[in-house]
Amino acid sequence: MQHSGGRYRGAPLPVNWTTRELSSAGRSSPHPEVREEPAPVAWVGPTSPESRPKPDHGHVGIGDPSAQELDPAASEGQSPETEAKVATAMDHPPNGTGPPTVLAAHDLSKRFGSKVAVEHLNLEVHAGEIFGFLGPNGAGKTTTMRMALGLIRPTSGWVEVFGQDVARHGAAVLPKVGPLVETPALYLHLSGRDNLKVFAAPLGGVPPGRIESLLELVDLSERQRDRVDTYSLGMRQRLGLAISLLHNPELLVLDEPANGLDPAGIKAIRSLLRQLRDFGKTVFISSHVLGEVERLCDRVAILRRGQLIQVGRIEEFRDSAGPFVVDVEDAQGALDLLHCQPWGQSARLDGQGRILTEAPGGRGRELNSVLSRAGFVPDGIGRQQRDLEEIFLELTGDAQ
Amino acid sequence: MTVRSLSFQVWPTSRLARPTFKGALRGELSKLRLNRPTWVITGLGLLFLTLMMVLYATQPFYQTSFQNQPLTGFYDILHPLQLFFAAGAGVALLLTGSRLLAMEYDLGTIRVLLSRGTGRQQLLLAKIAALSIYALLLLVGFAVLAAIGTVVAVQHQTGSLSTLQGLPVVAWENVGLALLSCAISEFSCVLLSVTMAALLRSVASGMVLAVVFFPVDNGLSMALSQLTNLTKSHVWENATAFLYGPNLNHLPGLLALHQSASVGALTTPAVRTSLPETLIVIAAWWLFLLVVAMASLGRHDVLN
Repeated sequence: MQHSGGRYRGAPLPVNWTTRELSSAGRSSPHPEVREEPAPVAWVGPTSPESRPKPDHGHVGIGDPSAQELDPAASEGQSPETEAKVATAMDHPPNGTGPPTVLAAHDLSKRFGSKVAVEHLNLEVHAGEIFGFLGPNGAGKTTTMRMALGLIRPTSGWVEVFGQDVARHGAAVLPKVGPLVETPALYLHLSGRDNLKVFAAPLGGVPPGRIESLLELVDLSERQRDRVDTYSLGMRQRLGLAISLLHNPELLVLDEPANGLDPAGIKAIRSLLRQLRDFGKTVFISSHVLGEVERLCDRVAILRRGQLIQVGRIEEFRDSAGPFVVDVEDAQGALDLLHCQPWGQSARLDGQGRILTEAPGGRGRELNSVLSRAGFVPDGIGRQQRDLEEIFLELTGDAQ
Repeated sequence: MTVRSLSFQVWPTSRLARPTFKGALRGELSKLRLNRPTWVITGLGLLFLTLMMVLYATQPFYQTSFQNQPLTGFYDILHPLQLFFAAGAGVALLLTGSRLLAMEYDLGTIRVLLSRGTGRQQLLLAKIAALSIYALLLLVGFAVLAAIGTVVAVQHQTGSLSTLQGLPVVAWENVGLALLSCAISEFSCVLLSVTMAALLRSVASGMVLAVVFFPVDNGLSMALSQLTNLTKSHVWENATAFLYGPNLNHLPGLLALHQSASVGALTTPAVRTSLPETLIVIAAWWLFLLVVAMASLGRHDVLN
């Protein structure tokens, strides 16, 4: 990045919505660049009152007994790189100086009358990551996001954005946030261009050329003077995204940004969000398109009935959630042995004669030890890899 | 197939904006300016004003009046204009004001505005300020056009402007007071419209309630008068002294100096009220409406 004339000018961001292909132009994996030369991030240290309980960084889903933790012990024997990933998922920065937390929910709850929308939610989103927020309809994702944006007051708990309670210091921190909540909210009787101008005004307008850049970024230049009520849902979604980017936010809070977009449009948004992350932005995104989340997000959290049930990196979800697959010569004998173990009641054979089983303490080497001691030396033991959709359905209880 | 490239500009943190009242006001003024109904309503007002001035310039009644009793003839022009403006601008502001706030809820844009850091009270005050500026522009425009129209009418009817030049000072003072009462009436409508919109958070409901408020208010005044006649209790007619619309209707007559004719023919309180009492009641209503609007806007979660 260059610094000239009081303005950072990032590298060109090639965009082609017309062809629905967003080239990375030599920035295929520029995340490390961000580490070396981060975009300016205004980090304000925590200012929460001392009376408030501090979140315990050693747990995921604090205050939520049902939240499953990604057990670091499960990664024993794995590479330091994997351990570091687990540490990140556990909010344990490996070297103790990880990226700052830009958004944190502390024991957050919201009730609408007798209905519990969000219950004792604890969550942290770190600077420079794309954090996915998953859950079935009515899980509390949108309510959580609205509380993070100061639109809904929590019944209890609080949300910190850039270290400040958003309910009390919204005017200070929310200008650093680019919101897109559910369907894009636009002035339908105005043109796309006028929408950008009107939304830019409360924050003092934008530099010359900014609106043109954004319109070009979302491929609406040619339709910029048309009334928004003539736009398709996908075009409105893109305009909503442009509005969220108006003031160069450091944190993007996007609720279902892929709504109404065709697959090519979804792909373009994915590329755009990755590039924004590469510019040092943080993205907090909810989506029902699990494949997209899997491909896009660094970490994900899964919510069910207002409660956080799991949070971690995508790889750990895949690794931790699946049963062990044991390839052994005498599969039936080994299966009988496993059925005698308190942790092996659910062991079964798959269609290829392999055993699918849990392991003592969730550790593969313990499983190996038990089988080997009984003379069933495995030819191989590994975790069954599943995609996020299977894991999501299992965790949210919608597998059937 | 075209491949475009653009610079995604990133400006330093120090340039990060903060929501300001000035910025919010600018945004609201832009919405008013870009709102087609604003111009349609203003255009209709201009059309009716022109028709009235044509009437003044051509009807023989005004020629006689100007020549025989110049001051009465002047008031014969002033009072209908004042009534026309108070009613016309009032309706325009009720519709425009309730739409300006309630559309944010109907369209969901309230969540974009608030989630970008604009405070709820800041937004409400910016909308009231923008509507007040619009109301002031309407008043100034009306005053200028009415003045030009009056000059043209008098010139056309009498062949000179000596009638106007010979008017006593009190006539011009009454013009100023008429404008003041119009301004008070306009601001009253602005507050009523945003309060109804803040309460109902829907363009249709907000507009309907804002527009029917004054007719209901005036009808209530008449009903209370009838109750007094029926029950012989003065409690009912005393209560009319605290109604919003009747006090606003009564204000021009109370403000006017040395006028024999009553200003306007709208419902007034059933009991005699002084100018200070009327002003206090109106100010109390302003405060009440403002508090209700602020509480309503600030209290509710944004769910739509």
